Amino acid sequence: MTAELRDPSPRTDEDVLLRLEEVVKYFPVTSAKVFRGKRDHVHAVDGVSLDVARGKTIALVGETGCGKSTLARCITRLYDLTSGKVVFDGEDISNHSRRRLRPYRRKMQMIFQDPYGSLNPRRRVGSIIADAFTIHGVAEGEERKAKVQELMELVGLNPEHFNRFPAEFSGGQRQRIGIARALALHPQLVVCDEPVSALDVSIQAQVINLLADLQDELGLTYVFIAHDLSVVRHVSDRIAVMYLGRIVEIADTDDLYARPRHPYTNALLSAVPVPDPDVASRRERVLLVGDVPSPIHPPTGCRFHPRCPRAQEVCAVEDPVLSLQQGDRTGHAVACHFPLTDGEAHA
Amino acid sequence: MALLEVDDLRVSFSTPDGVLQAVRGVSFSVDPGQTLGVVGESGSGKSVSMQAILGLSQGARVSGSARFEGRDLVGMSAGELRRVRGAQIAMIFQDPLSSLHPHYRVGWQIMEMIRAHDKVAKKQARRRAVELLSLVGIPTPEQRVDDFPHQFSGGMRQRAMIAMALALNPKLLIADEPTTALDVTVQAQILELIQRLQKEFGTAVVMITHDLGIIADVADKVMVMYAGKPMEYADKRTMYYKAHHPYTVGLIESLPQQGAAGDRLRPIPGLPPSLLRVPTGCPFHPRCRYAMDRCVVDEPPMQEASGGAAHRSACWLPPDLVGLGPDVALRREQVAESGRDASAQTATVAQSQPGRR
Repeated sequence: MTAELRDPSPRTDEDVLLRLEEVVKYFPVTSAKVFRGKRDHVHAVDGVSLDVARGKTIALVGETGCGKSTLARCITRLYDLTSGKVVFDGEDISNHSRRRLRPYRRKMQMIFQDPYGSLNPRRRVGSIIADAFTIHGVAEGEERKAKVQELMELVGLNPEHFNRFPAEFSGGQRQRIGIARALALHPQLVVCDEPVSALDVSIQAQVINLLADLQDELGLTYVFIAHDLSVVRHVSDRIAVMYLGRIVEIADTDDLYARPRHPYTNALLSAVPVPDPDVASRRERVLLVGDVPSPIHPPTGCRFHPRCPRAQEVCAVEDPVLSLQQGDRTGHAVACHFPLTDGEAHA
Repeated sequence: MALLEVDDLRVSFSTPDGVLQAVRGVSFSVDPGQTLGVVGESGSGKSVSMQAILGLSQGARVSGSARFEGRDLVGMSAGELRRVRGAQIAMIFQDPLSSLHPHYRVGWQIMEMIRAHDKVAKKQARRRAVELLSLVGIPTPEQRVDDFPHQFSGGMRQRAMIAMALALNPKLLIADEPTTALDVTVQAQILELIQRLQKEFGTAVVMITHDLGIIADVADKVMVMYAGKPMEYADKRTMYYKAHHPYTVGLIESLPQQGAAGDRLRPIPGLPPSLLRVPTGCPFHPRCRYAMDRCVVDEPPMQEASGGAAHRSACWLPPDLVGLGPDVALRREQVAESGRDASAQTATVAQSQPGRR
């Protein structure tokens, strides 16, 4: 029932580290309906294909419930896929057992949104960071301690604080602990799930700079999940806009901001508050009506059609395929029957 | 005459670790129909100061004055305050789920609000509730009025909260991060709604937020807070283009700029101070690039700066050093240089190392 939705980016000689093919993840919904034999499902991710180039940053953006975090957990195989493929460095890991996944756990790591909930409050920071070494049997005793301190230094924490508890650190520092833990085993891919959205503005910038430095230093590849579009613009090379479990538009960062094609992308960009009073007063917002529909029963046809200002009859019937624009060379693809032209995007 | 005039408001809490000074002398005023934006990071005292004005900060010691239409709200009896709260001054909060009672129907909660202040029949109150829900853009309000909060989406709950806040035509609406929990497209809807209703009813708004983008959009005047104190107060354009205080400048400069992808961001080094141990002198001096010897010992008062009319800033730098950009930064640096004793300099630099405290 899923439509053909591949990432149609030109697959040139770019070195692909991660490839997603038609990734689908449904969650069963427990309800009284089980007695009637039919079970509902939340269509969290519904056919996502994506290439992530080595050493680059790809951002997944979208509103609550668009499936971006679920997709992140499918990539790192914290979830089993309903169907589809996750290919990491040439190897299909979508059906690997836990044991076979182990070596891949070292190569891909995750940084979470909540620096309070993702660190065990009863354990010392040093031992939290050293977990990875313990699990994978890397380094012992003094050597392990040295490695932990090296990591703390790398992320801008005082190495002498390895005996402290998470509660003794501020939000920004905790996020640094999370980053240190993720980097312990020299991963190739780091999936950052809203890494800065819980932080204050002045601290956000510190963490974003840190992530950028680490990428340069260690050649990391990032999958960066965020809802803050100004942060995303700053960090990513390529952006995939998601809506109700699907990618509706994917493009290089500058191209997406300059020439959004999908009406949803356009509305999303126009809704971002600009910290400049003159620009803010000149700008026109594209206001969407209503809320995101339920992912249990997504709308027919184009999933965005009930809220789309450009929707026509065909949109309710026919599901648009994510495809390149005519004559496109940059890999700017959009899933829309009536994409915006150059002059129509919000200023 | 100002609608709300707050003078030297101070709020402190006793904790097992000592006295926590959440608000340490805040003064501002709000004119009828105007929007005051209050910006600051977590712990800057922006929410606490508003809650204290309304008598909502339990266990706090509050001093100073907050005159609303000439009557001081600080020290007002609980009963009197209850008549002001809701009817004259309404408040909406960040989390619309926990501000609505999950057990009662949305319409019932709006009706209760109306009937607590006005002696009207149930039927009439219900009609008013439906009217309000339609005013804030809830589809099919006649049916939705009987829904429970969990049947509403996040955006609709915030709309319901706004409906409730506006039920009695308050003169002042205090919105504490009203859109922080919402998605951007819904946030845009809610901001638009607040602005439309403000225009329609002439309500004054105090908008508390950490998002400088929202302030740029909705505010007339802006107050920047740090460590329980106002650092700078000005009209919106002055604040964004001719800021005086290094903290305001730092905040604006730490944002990812539009169209400048790939560059490094310029964060403010260090962390906000603990309110149990506020630094001596200017509370911002440990993180300030331009800290001078004087800043460590002497706390700067709010004084006039030359960015615009009624522009005030709590900083020892000369009042004409306003604005962003390398030229002003250089001049600030020069002034700061001359205000430092050679031996004290190293101390300041050591203190401002990022993430090392």
